[in-house]
Amino acid sequence: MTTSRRSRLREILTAYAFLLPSLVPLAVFTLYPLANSGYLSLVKWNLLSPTKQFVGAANYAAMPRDAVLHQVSTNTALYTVVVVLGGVLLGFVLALLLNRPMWLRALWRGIFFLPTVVPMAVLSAVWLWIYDPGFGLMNYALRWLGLPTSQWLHSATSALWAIILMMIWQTAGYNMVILLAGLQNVPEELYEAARLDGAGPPALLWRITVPMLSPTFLFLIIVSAIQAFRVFDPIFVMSLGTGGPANSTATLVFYLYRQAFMFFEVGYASAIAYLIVGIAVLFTLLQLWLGKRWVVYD
Amino acid sequence: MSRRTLPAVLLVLVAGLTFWPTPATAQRGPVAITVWFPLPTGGPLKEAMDDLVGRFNGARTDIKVSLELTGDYWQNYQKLQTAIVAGNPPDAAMMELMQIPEFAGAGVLVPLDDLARQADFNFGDVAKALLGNSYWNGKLYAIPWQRSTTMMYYNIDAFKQAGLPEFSPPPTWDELRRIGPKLVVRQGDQVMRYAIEGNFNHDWLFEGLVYSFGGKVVSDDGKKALFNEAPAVRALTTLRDLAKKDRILYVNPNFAQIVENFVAGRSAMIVHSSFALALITNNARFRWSVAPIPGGPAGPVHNAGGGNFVLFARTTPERQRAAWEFIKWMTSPANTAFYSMRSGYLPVRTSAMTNPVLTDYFRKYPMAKKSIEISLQYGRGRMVVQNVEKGVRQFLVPALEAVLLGNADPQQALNDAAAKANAELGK
Repeated sequence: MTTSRRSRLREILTAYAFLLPSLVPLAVFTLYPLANSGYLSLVKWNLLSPTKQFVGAANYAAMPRDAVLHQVSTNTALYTVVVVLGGVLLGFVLALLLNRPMWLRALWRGIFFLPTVVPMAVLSAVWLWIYDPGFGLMNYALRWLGLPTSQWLHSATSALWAIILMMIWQTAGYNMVILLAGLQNVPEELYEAARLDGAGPPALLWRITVPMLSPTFLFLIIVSAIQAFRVFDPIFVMSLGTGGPANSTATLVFYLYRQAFMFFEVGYASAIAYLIVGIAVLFTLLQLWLGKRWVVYD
Repeated sequence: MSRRTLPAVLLVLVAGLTFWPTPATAQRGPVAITVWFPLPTGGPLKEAMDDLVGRFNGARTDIKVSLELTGDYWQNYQKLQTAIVAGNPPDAAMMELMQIPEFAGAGVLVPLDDLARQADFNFGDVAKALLGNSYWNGKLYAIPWQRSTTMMYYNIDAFKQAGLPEFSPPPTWDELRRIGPKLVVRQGDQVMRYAIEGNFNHDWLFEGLVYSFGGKVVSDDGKKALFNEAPAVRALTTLRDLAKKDRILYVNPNFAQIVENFVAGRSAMIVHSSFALALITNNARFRWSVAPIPGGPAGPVHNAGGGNFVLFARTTPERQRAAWEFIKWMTSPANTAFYSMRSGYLPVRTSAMTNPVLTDYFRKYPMAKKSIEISLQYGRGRMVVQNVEKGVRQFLVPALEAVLLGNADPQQALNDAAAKANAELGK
């Protein structure tokens, strides 16, 4: 008994010894900052002052009265929902098209995947020109088609939509590749059997392809929702670091950055960080629950 | 000592040696000081700074300056903030002038009044506009260095094509409204050329305009927003009307693109930074010139911009004195003339204008002389507010954008923003 307990203890210690190289960085760079910003969310501090004033839940209590926080939350929700659904949908359409034999198929796949590997700084430089209201490609194309033009990034009503459109384009390629892999795992016999029973293309799509891909869809939606929810880079570069015009493109993480590193409101910024974590956890739980109900694992 | 304890003892020894304090008075070499400077890793400004620092170090045996580059003004600000929290700021730094009151108010900067008095620093030789942002609570905290103002550039060929006299930039906003439509080129519904373009949704240009309409954005003590008073409302209404009713003024939030549009002939005039002169000189393929920005009732105003030198308080008096010696040397007429010639920024001393370095340069680039003269004649210091980002900009800029890039009413938008700013500034 005692020998077995001792050997068990030894086993556990050995396991921890092997885990140590990753536990130490995890503790130093993740767990400690996480705990510390929890503490900071309860103080008022401007980084410069030697003392931190303990204010309890005041930073959290200030949130409902912060009109800009409401605006950036709405912006974030809109951005997340539209970019995730649009990106997955466009990725699915591309995957369906590029799953069938066609001329230069590998090249097309590569081209649509390209935006995933191009750095955001490069993408933004190109898209800033595409969206130029006077001489950009987008308005040029719209004029050529005889459609009304837009002020794109220069108007408080269209700027967020312009960034959303760009990010649907940017994320679709990655979604396409994952969905292509999913499509190739759907057994061909299922389609053959359904065709023998007289099913047409719409029925094949809705009754076989979509249900068989549902785990892939769930994965993509969770991953891209988490990414979209904490969006920062595209907002920062496309609004030229401002979140404007008139805060119309500012998101939660951008607002956190501004509170922390432009206003030096470290306490309030930390409270916003915890708000973001809370929403992300709720979101993931919801998706898992939906996943249990709707996803088919064969 | 067992095999197990040996590594532990070694570890303690190494750690102890690493953190052993080095006695400060051990060596009596030159006083080594560090100066942070907001610049990326390369380019002509870095070369000019390296040149100056090299000459200073060559001339002085008692002081050794090392320059550390910190990126742009914001990265510089954030790195300084981090260094102050860690208790390890540099001896001196150049900072964007709007960021200085935050540090001065927190007591981390050295007041320079005594050093300047002892050194007999000739303030009479520094243009008044450049000193406007050097003070906080009546004390001197900053010495001007890398300075610019807003500047207007106009396309002479475009004026000629429009049937206007070639050298007739509009002196007032009323005159701009009169001649502007002639300068605009339309193709169907599309404007191919605007009369005037600028980053008018930003507070830099807007503040200059408010000055020229006889008002201020914020009270002198930095405690009360004045940007919903009549001069500011008239300034914003003027911009709104020119942009939306007359459609001759283009509000471009993309600061860098404005110069590109000017050199591509898409705007007959732009309001930008005096620093853009070199870029335009190298790229414009038409005749152009600089001019005072159109004025309101109080005449043209060119709003100050750029960076000043500051000293940090955590070092020893000996090092503070060394850092001051460096800044004083840098801002001598000959050296500021050299930096102006190499960088395109303003010389911080009036007497530098007659220094051979600049007079030779002006012979080759007369436009540089004209631009500097306009900056110094019409220049004006900016608002001095502790944490201007939080107290003013976060409310003012969205209000300007809601009017100029949205459909908000000027008075209403500025009233709302001023109420919020006053709540923040009064804290």
